[in-house]
Parts: sequence; structure tokens; C-alpha cells
Amino acid sequence: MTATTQSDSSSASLSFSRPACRARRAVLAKQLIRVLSWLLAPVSCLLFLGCGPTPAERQAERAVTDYFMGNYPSAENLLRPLAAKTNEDFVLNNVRLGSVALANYDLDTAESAFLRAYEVINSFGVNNGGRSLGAAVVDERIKVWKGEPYERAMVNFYLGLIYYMRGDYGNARAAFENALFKLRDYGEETKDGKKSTDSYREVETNFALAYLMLGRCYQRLNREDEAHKAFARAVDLRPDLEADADYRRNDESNLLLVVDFGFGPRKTTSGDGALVGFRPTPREQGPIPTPMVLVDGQMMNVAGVARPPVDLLALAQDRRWQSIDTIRAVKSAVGTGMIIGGAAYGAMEHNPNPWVTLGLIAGGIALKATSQADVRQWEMLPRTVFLVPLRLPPGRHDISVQFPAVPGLSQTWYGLEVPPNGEATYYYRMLRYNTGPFNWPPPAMTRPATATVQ
Amino acid sequence: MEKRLRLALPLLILLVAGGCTNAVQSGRNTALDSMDLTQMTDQMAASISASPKVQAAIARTGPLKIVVQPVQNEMTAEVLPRGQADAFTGRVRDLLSKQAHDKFIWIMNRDAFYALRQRELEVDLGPSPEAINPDYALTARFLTLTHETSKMRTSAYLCVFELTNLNDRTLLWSDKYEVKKTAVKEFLD
Repeated sequence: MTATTQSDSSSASLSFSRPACRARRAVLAKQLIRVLSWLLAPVSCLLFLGCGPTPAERQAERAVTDYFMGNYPSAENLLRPLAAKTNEDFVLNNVRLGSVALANYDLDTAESAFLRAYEVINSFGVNNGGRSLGAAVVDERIKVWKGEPYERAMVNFYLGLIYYMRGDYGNARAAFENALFKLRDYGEETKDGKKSTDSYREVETNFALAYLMLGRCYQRLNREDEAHKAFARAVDLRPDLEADADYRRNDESNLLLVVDFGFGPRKTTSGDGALVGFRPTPREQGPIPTPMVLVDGQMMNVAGVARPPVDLLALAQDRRWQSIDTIRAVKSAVGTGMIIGGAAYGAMEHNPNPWVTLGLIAGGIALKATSQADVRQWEMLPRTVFLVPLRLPPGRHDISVQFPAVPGLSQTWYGLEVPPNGEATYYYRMLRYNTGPFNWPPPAMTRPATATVQ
Repeated sequence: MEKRLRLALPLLILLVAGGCTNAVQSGRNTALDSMDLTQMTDQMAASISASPKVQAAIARTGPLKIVVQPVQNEMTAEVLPRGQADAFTGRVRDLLSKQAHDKFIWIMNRDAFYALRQRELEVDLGPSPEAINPDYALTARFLTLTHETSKMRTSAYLCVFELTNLNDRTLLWSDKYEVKKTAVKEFLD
């Protein structure tokens, strides 16, 4: 009885505040729902519309598949129209086209594709205005793709390689230098603003490739001092590359084989898709096997020089945390909080407003959905690039590159030309379904105004 | 509040959708641009025309027979494709052809001439006895000091143009164009 009385009295004392409180809550809830519905409607539309690959993305995927099957002309045809569109995938489609055209020895197309990518990569503020806002708020894929630092470095490397193959050593040198600049984004500066030479040195160590090519360029530009400096830097970073960086060997070589081996890192997301990582790691993938080179059926002694001067799997692991990563992580965490909060509110409140519960959960889901990381990447990249300088008698030679540790992985070219003066450079993309034998010159080279032999 | 939202939301959508420029519209870099091309070549053409040494040579030998070479790229980490390399010296030639057409005879680059001859005539005719040999070469060398950090990129350019006597290797005229360019990295760069 007492308890009932107490209960009644407490009800009586709250009789003025409870209805008012409920009314206020209802108004707040209504406002919250309206706010959320206004915010969520366009986001949901974008999400639903954005689900699944677009026709252009499917076309690019087909081109990538064709590339790995060694069907370069088909891949080039698929990528050419995509690379002409100046949308958010402009750089990505151009580097894809560059890779395909280089493997196809269509050097004009490869040069212009890599050059277009180079120009955008070297430009800052490309994502100004709506794209930055859109990438932060709605979907990161709205931003113009410029690649990770290792991808940017490789764009410059391939551009340099094409100039090198064409004997334009001034531009080749510039591109290799720029490749090294692009790696500075990996950790030149620490949090207190001081330069961290250790972290940059580590990155450079994984990209001694650029120094080797720089040294060769300087040799051909008759800049002995700079050539010595570049080779010395390569050895300083990687003492095991002493034979590759040998001044005399590089100077006397009249044939350079550039061999792309393996597959580059894959961009993956962890947890709920908001955090980016790269797999596999060098440890997961194991050591890089050594190539074997046969010239006219004779095995060449390349054990000393055929060492991998770059490991993109290692380089990718040095990825720097960026502002957009923080935004995604915060959105994801807030989204999780809203979902949990909405569920808790619905479960624990005596008379929960279902709209508030739904609004919080839907808002949380939308935030999480828009916090997905951008996993676009340059799929054609190799794990490493071998540089094999050789000195051969001038004339035509049949040259095979094999990897005994990887069954079935070899590539043979018949009739590669070694000039009486100067140097010839040939590019091998090692793929299981692209073993050859191929005849030199390839169809793309027989068109006028393309030549690799100087 | 709702009214404000109704206004703010379309604005946000407009900003995201309408504010999106394409991949080649809004970037800035440290490369030489069309303004530099115009300024530099205007300056060089005016400088050659006004040079007392050039005037004296013309008075002494008549119109100068000049071959134009593409720019030599000695820049740090800056690529200069062939077309652009030709444009910088080609525009100087073009300006001088218009301004002082009676003072200069422009000779085609030898490699380009024989390549064109071979391509157009379909047979390799060998050396052309009628070809006029140039007396002077207009050359250009572009150099930079370039530095890039995770925050910015700067390039200080020195573009040197020279008119060299091919017979005695003396320098008839020389001038330079200097410019410094800085591009600051932004969000998402």
C-alpha cells in the first residue's frame, strides 16, 4: 500500500514534466530523422548507384586479363578509349595502357600514355574543389587516382626506360631522377618536421634500380663523374649490386635486357574496409628467383649481375599514413558508434522512438559505407625489374630468359639486333602465358617512326 | 533548421558534382608552360635582332644561314618531350622569320631533312649536293635545380640560348631566361 502510494505520489510529481519531456523528445527525434533522411537520401542513392563495376571498369578489367594472357593488341584496343577520358581514372588507365604498349613494343603509344600520366602525377591540386570534398565525404574513388609513391616512381621509371630505349638519354635521366623524387613521399620527414634520412634511405635501398639506370644514362651522355656517383650510390645502398653497378661492365655493354618479373603488391583493405594495406609481403612471397639468360643456345654467366635492384612488395610496405586515411578511420569509428548507439537505444529505452533507432543505425551504415578505402591500383606492375647488361658480337641473336625456379616461366625472342655501334635495349615481361618464341621486330615495331636500336 | 538543410544539401551536392574538374584541368606543376614559351622566345628573338654582333655579321656576310637544334634537356627531374623541345627554338625561328625575314636564312636540321627526303621520295638518294650548309647553329640548353619534398616541389630554371659559328666555333650571341617555379602539395596530393 505504501509502495503504491509512493508510486502514485512520484507519478503525480512528474505529471507536469514527463509529457513535456516526451513532446520535446518527439520533436527532437523528428528533427533528427529529417536531418538524417536529408543526409542519407543522396548518400544512399550514390551508394546504390555506385555498387558494382561500371562498364568502363569492366572494360579495364578485361584489358588487364588480356595483358596477363599476353594478348597485348586486344588489351591496347580496350584501354585506348578509356585512357582518353580525363576522368578520375585518367592516370590509372594511361599507366595501364603504357604497360600494355611497352610489352607490345608500341613505344609511341607507351611514351604518350606514360607522359600523360607523368604530367598529372607531377601536378598538385588536381583534386581541388569538389573532388576533395567528395572523396572525404562520399567516396574516395571520386578523387583523381595518382597512385601510391611506388606506383608514381614506376611511372617515371617506365617513361625513362622508353626514352632510354630510344636513345633520348637526357629525358631518360630526368625521368629516373624524378622516380627517386616520387619516393620522398614515403618518409622524408618525421612528425616534428625534421628530416628522417634513415627512412628515406631505406626506401632508396629498395629502389636502387633508378640509380643503376641513372648511371647508364650519364655514361651515354659522357658525364663520367655523375655516372660514377650514381653507381657508387647504388652500391652504397645495396652492396650486393656491386657487379650490376660496375662502371666498365655497363660502359662496354651493347645490349641491355630489362626483365620484369612477378607481380606487384595488391592493395587490400583490412577490418571493415576503411584501412589500406598491401599484400603479399616479401616474406609471404619468398625470395625473388634469379634469371638465366641463353644467347643462341649458350648460357650466359649472369649470376653476378642478375640481382633484383628493386622489390615493389617491400617498397609498398612503407606506405605513409595520409589525411584521407584518418578521415576514413574516423568515419568508420563514428559509424560503428552510431550503429551500436542506435541498437542500444532501441534495446534499453522503455519507449524507444523507432525512427531514432532506425535513423542512427542507417546513419551509421551510411558512414561506414562511405568510409571504404580506394583500392584502385596499377595491376600490371611486376615485383622486380632485372637489368642484364651484355656484350655480344654485333648482329642478330636468339635470346631466351628463363627462371628455372619457376617452372614454365621463360620467354624467347629470335633475331634480336645488336648494333655495331651504340646499344640496344629490349624489354621482357615475364608471364606464364607469354613465352614465345617471338620474332624480332614485333608487328608494332614495323610501323614507321618506331625504333629501339641506336 | 530544416530549411537551412534543404538549402545546404543541394549546395553540397552541387559543390561535389559541379566543383569536380577533370584530371587535367586544375593541377599546377613546376614545368615550363605556354607563358614561359611566349615570354622566353619573344625575349630571345628580340635579343638576337638587337645584338650588335649579329648585326655586324649580317652586314659583313649577308643573311645568316642558321640551323635550329631542339633544346637539350639538362634539367633535373624534368622531362621535356621532343615536341616541346622543338617548340622553344622553333618559335624563335618563327618570330625572326617574320620580324627580319631578309636577315636570316633558315636551314633545315640535317637529320630531319634526310628523314623527310627518304620518307617522301621513297628511295634513299644519298647526300643532296644542292643542300646549303649552315654557318650558324641556334641551340638551347635548359638546366634546373629541382627539389621535391613531401610538401612541395621547386624548380629554378636557367634556359641558355646560343648562336654558334659552325666554322670557327665562336659564340656570336648568347642570352638566358631564368624563372623559378614552386608548386605546393595539397590534400590528396
